[in-house]
Amino acid sequence: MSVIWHPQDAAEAIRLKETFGAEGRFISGGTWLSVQWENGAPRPGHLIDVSAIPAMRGIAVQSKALTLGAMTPLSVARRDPLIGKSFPLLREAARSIAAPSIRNLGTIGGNIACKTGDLLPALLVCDAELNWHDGHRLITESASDWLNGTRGETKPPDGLLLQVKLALKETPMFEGAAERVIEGYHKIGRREAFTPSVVTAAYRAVLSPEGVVQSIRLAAGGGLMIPQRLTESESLLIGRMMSPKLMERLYEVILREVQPRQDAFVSCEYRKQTTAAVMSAGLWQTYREAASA
Amino acid sequence: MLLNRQSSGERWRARPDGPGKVTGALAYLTDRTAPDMLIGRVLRSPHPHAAILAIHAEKARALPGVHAVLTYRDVPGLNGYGIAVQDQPVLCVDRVRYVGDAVAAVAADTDAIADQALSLIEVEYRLLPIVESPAAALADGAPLLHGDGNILHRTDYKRGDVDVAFASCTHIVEEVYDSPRQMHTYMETEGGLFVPEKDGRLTVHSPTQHGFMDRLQLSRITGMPEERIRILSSPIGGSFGGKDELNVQPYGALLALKTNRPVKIHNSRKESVRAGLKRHPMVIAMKTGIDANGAILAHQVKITADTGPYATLGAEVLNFATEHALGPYRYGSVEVDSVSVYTNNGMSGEFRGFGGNQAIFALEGQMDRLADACGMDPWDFRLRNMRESDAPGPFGQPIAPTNGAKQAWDALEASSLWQERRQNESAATVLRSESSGGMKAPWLKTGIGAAFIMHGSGLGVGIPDPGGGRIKLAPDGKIEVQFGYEECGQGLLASLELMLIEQFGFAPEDLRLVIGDTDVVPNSGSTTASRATTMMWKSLQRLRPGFQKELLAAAAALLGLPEELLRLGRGGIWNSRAIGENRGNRGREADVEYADLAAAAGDMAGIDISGIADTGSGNAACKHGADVDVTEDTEERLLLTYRALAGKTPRPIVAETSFAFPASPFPRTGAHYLYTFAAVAVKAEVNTLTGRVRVLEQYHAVAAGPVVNPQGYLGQIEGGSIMALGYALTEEALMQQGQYATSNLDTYLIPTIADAAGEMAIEPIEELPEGDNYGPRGIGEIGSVGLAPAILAAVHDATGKRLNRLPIDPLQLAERPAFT
Ligand SMILES: Cc1cc2nc3c(=O)[nH]c(=O)nc-3n(C[C@H](O)[C@H](O)[C@H](O)COP(=O)(O)OP(=O)(O)OC[C@H]3O[C@@H](n4cnc5c(N)ncnc54)[C@H](O)[C@@H]3O)c2cc1C
Repeated sequence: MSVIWHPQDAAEAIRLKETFGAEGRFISGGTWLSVQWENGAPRPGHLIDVSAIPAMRGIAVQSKALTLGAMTPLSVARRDPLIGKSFPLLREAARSIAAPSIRNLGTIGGNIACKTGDLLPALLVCDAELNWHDGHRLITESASDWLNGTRGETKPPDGLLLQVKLALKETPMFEGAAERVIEGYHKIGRREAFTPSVVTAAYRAVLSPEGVVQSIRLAAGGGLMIPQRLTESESLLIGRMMSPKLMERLYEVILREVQPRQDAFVSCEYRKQTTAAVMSAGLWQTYREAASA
Repeated sequence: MLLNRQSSGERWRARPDGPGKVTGALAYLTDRTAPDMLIGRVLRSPHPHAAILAIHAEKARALPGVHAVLTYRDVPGLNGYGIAVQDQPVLCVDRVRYVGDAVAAVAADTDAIADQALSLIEVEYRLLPIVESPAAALADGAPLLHGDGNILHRTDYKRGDVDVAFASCTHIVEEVYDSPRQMHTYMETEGGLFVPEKDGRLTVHSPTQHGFMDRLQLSRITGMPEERIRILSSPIGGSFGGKDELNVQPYGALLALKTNRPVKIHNSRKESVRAGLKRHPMVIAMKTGIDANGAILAHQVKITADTGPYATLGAEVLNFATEHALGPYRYGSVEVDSVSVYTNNGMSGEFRGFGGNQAIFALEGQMDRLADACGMDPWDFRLRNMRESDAPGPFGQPIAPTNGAKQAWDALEASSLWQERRQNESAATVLRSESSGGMKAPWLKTGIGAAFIMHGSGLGVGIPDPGGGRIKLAPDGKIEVQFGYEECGQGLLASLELMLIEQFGFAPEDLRLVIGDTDVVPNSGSTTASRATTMMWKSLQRLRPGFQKELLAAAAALLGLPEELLRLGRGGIWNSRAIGENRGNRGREADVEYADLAAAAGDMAGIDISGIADTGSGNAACKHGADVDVTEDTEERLLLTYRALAGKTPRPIVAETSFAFPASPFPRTGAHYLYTFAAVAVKAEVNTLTGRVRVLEQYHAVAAGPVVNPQGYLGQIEGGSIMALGYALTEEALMQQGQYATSNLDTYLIPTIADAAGEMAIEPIEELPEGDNYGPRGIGEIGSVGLAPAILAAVHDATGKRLNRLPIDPLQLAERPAFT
């Protein structure tokens, strides 16, 4: 049986964590943790319930950024109109996670902190920033840097994630002549709904009116893989004109670059192939649809 | 006509157990508790194969709150169980053969204490080599899992000489079909409440498909006479064959008897996965040859089934698969060789479809490939080789004459789905892509495929297959109907109720349906093999004349009226419908109290029966109602309530029947006599980026005689087909080195509503051959058989790829995208 603590602010939470070390564990919705326990992971001696910490709650718009409290439930991320309008990939990712009861309990923070959550590829392509409290001070780090910094380790973060910050795009001055944004989020599981992901892939490209890639974010995850930006594949595209040939090459590079993890059910080969296929075909199809519109 | 709510009219009713199930008010047997009860738990082997060197239970016994720790030494009777062969140890003695094998059982005050007690039992094992597959089990030098080797059962069937026949074939198709270990995944996991009674009897509240078989098996294990054990077995939260065999009952019973306290056991999902039965994984190799005209000359089949560590019904399942690997087709020569092999994998056993699912997946795959080979349309090819209506069964055995095969074939041929395929085929350019959003997503390909199913019902030749039931007027005036069949969620009570309403004229509130209690019901065999509805229908047919006559005779005597003028109806005995109907009057509810009182007082003159009395000869009224002149005020009236009748009859009115399920007069164990036929067409979409398949539309034609209960019929075919959808696309209880990789529903994936989306049209073919009085055929299993091969056919239509393994591996369908 674990002892449960209810700190009222971030500093107290961090103090508790430092006191108990590896025996202390932050808990938000507890949905991810309960799966671990069910599968035989040991229960920690102390659970630090962070749900009452004010800085971790709510959604705020300040200085051209949307700040989501880490305690924001997945169901809110799925429903919130501002998230839906400004970050449709995030909404799509939240929509694809688990089932209603779990989305009501499970939080954005827990999804990020567990390092394999399906929100992560969407957050990566949205250039999300994470606000942490590391015990001494507040640290802001891009989601991408944070994931890279973990170097594939699955151990839980020591710091407390307070918020996720997403920059709001400026509205284009001239409708029509402006650059085009094409984006997509795909989660492929072993069934249609309520399924662990096998592959999650997200992409977001900004194209010039002529179809030249001006900025590009490609991110992949799925299963036990820690989601990654596909930087080599990104650099292949940047500055180039969208074309079938480019997409053929993109497919090849993604195939090589993505590093999925296999489990008893799905091979690496399938995961690589599917990531490459949904990303390159998705980009191309969205581009063609946008072009013909 | 398609079966649905609309076309069912008034026959579409709320099922009697519906409100309780929908509101959650209904308590399942595993919801029951008793004051002072203990919690029972079972210690299972962590190893797929090991020798037991010692079991130390002292520490567990010494733990406060523990009331009993049982090992094999504590089994008073037979330390073995199994419906057919009792080779599965209740508690293992010196060896464990799979990860569900039970080594000890504990009863404690709480779950937590029981859990701790399990952890305190020390078992010393010596690991033995794991026999991971039938191939490994059959290899030279394989470790032997049982005294007489690794083969549970072999069976074969030969007609003609296939080798000679293959020599004259124009096309030969050879393929090996691999089918997965599927889990029943009932909502309610195994469990029960076991109560030692003051009089020394034992009451078992635990779901099973055959209460009397559990009683027999528990009597062997406990050493108690059967009559000292009472089994309460319904309602069941799903079974699908999985709860026919014993599961936790031996442990609950032994612990309750040992402690003399009620004991409750309820498996967690994980324990259910680990210990429970699964569908047999089978590898089926088929070689089939045709002549230049597409006639099948030779069909050779080799079936290898992984039966796991113990027998249960492995042999019977293999017999069924052998028969169904032949199906409804005509062959020049055939040869089937089948073997069911022991391994250290999980237990395989009875499962809806009973070996037919695997066999028909293979057989229908062959039919499609052969049609390809000779350039025929696959549906035409099937007709080309289809059995005639008076043909014998697959083993050449006499069967009930049936035109079901042709009827099902015709229905599918006429279906809009199949017509759509025919049109696609004839169109110059075949458009196989569907649009997604604004533009066509080039990676989505759709196709239409079909499969044919012939499914035997009943247990078959040589296996006792009793049926029967009882109906009586209970002292409280209820019409009490007693059957030894179980409500597993399939809608048995709803079907029984509707039959009683339609065949006898009773109203739901007149009835008390009694099932699932060995102290009360007659032994009418197991609720299995698509037999219960047929048996109940037949029983009621046999019970009706006698029971009706007795009720009417008793009523006639009381009322002083001729029997012929009376009929059974809502609430009691009515004046004959013949008169009322002929006069165009609608029946009205009489004042029941009045009828009651009058009857009780014996004051017949006080009851308005003038309309009947005036007709003079009652016989005439009955036979020639239309010609009889009756007075104007004739109306249908309730003359005597069942309660009044029950109170007045000098002796109880009871009718009982027992008989056997119709069997073929043929000396081959398991061969069937009654068959159901079905045809399934499906439209599926393949996403070639991901290799994933979605079913968009289904059509099922089922030739099973009259629809007893429309809702139940739809429920069975739809539910069965969703099970088959899982079998085809997602479900596999994966084992590695004798351990389940899928330990719960996180990784064992059954279809969700999103997977089962899409239209499902169901067309019952109700017509039976003239003179056929076997009644409605069972449909409990057939819906679960055909969808998987039909999906494979649709996948081929969409992609040109022929797959031979279930569930479908998306990697085989994934393609490199084309960028155009
Ligand atoms: C049946 C089921 C299905 C699921 N399906 C999916 C799915 O499809 N996709 C998916 O992505 N996930 C899925 N999950 C996992 C989980 O529900 C989600 O990832 C959820 O978002 C986790 O949030 P939580 O608040 O419950 O996290 P918790 O379980 O509370 O915590 C998760 C981890 O993060 C740490 N943590 C929590 N909050 C913080 C914080 N603020 N700062 C630092 N560390 C923190 C915890 O210590 C723990 O290590 C599923 C879970 C279940 C039970």
